[in-house]
Amino acid sequence: MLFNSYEYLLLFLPTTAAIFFLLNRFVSTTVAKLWLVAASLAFYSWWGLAYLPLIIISILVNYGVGTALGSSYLAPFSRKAVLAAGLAFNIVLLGYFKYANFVVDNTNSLAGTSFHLDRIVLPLAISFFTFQKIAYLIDSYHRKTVGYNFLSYALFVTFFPQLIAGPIVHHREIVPQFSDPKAALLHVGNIATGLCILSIGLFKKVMIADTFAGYVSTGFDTEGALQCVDAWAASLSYSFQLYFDFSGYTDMAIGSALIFNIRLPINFNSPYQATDIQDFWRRWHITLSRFLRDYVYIPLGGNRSGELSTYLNLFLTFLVGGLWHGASWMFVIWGGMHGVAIVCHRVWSRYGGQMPAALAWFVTFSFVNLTWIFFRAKDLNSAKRVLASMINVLDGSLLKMFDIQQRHATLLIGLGFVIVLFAKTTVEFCTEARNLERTSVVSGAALAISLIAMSFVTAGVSEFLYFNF
Amino acid sequence: MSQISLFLKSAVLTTVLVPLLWVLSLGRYERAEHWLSDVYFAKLYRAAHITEPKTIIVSGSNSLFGFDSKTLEDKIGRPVVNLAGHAGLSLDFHIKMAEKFAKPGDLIVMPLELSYYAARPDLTAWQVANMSSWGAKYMDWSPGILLNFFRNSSFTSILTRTLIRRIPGDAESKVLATVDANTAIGALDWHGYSYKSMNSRGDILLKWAPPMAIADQPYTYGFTSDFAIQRLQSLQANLIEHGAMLRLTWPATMRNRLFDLSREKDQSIVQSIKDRLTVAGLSIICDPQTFQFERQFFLETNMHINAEAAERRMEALGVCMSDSG
Repeated sequence: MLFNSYEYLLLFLPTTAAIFFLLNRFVSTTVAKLWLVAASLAFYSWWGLAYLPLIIISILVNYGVGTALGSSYLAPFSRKAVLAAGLAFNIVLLGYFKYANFVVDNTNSLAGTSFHLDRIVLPLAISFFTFQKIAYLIDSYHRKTVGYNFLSYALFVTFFPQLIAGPIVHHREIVPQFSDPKAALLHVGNIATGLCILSIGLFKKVMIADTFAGYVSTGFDTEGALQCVDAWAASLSYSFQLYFDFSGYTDMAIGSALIFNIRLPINFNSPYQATDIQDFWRRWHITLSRFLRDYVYIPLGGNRSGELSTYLNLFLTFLVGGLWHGASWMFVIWGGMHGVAIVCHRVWSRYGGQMPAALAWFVTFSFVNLTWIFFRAKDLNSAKRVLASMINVLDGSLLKMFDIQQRHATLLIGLGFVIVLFAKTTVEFCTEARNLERTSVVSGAALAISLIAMSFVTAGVSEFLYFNF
Repeated sequence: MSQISLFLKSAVLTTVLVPLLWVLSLGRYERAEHWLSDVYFAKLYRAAHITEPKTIIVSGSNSLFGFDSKTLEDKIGRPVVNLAGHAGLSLDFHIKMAEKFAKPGDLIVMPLELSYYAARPDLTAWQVANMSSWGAKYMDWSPGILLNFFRNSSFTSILTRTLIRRIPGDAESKVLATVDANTAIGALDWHGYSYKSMNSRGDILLKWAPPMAIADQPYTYGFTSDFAIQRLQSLQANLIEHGAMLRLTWPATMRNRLFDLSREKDQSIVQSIKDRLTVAGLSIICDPQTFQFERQFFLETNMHINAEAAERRMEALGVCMSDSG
């Protein structure tokens, strides 16, 4: 079920919340939690029942392994073996569904073999919930999950606001909330703030991201010659589309969860205001960066083994981050570019390099915008085509950016810059105590406008971009 | 609780306001072919002021351009008013024009562009933009049509129409005086897409125009849609009920390597349309080859013929209209 669908907004979310609080009030919190798990599994199965067994088996296996790791009955060696088996289970599952075709295709083209593997459909959300479970197992090994019961664990994995595309929540910040008796009580303030965040997120997706999508397709999904102005419009539009799409999704997840008194971590903090690449990764998809830091970079050795080793670890972490997004060399290139940039930034900082803030912002944004081309393009030739057209300023088309055919795109991109550079984040906007009345009015209007726009034939319901990962 | 109450009030108010804003913005400016507004005003003015039985021409621009109503009047002996407009307009728009002005004894001649026989009920963005701006005054806005157009709109268009000035246009007296003056001249010089290039019968009959898009075109692959057939059947029944008659005929086309009616292949494509219409009880008169012209007779697009070709077209149309009664 898509967050930006009438089924979710007008039926699923209000019904699930109403029954949850009624069960809490009149039956028991355990039954209410069971209801939430069932509703979440129904939410997951909306696209099809095929992968429902997969997520259920995965929950059972990981909870079993986690419980075993947390117990005091296993010898140290056995605990390591159980942890390795548990990690292998998750990695093999993810590897099979996400990377098997990629490996076979590349093996065939490199070694001239002709192995055949039917196209495997990626189960929804597997990249996200696999990361959560890996974190859970490692922390169970370190005995940081003692006392979790099965229901809380199942709810942590399946809780529908974060199930499909994050934020990649850590059990430590979610499971205790489910056990808090206050979470069982209907909290008007949380509902109001949740509705506000949800509505602004929906607006970002329906009214902003989907509007940019048209200009992105013009540049990336067409063949033939591309004018310089169209290439720039496509490239910048994608930077904005991805941001508003993904941060809109995250807002909707945070808002939905807050209605149930659950606080999800923020995932975006005005990333396009970043003045260096490290700053960018502290603001963009924060929960992924956090996971990669804690469960890839630090286990690789982090910065503990000298400068060169740190550079290598940073680079490898970003390669993993790139590959996590999908089984494609384009994501590897994208991750590699960010890895190199992070290393360069570290070297630059180490030797005291500085530049004016405006220039630093410009360099950072330009680099991020450039790398999104590789992230979005279907292959290297397509990326080269867009890049070559962007460089081809001598075609004179940039001078036509305010002509009648281009004016709309130019103004929209200008508006995009104004919002990403000067607007508050959604959470800041909706929690500003001084202006609660104003935020209620604005977010109510945002919800209504988005619901109306969703009824437009030309708009339709479009999936969130991060559903593909 | 007051926060949630404010939130809900704001949402409900916006839900009411946005569609209301859209309805109020109908007829205001949007990027569209606004020149058609004055063109239709002059055409409809004439259609409304002819009292005796008349012939009404209805189609896209293949008959707005390259059609000589005066010559046809002389041949068939009854007044002609040319209501042809633009091939981007919906089939329903043309049908409504025909139904609105048909009176007992009238003959409706429709040299529809071949693409109309494959028409679908869906609205195009072009149609929405044009009908929501200049075309609003020519539409019969039933709640169903309003909802359909609203659902095919966008917020950009609502904002544009709400914020931007009303459609600029010339005074009605000036439009009528200009087309009357043009009637006395005959074939005109190019004054752009404007009533200034048109005569009072509704023809844009030009000697010359700057070429813009005279590219090869297949015009049709022979596909006919159930929707188009049903709408034309309904029009025919409606006209008969009101004592008028419908005559479908062929549009002007350009002979090119993708569509050449001297070739058997293209003849059979056209024949397939004719067969489908015949089965549906809709006859189409004349030989389509007599309305196909060489490239040099076309003005600025591959749809619009010049005055010289228009005379040949009227000759052929006059003959087959007489033959078909």
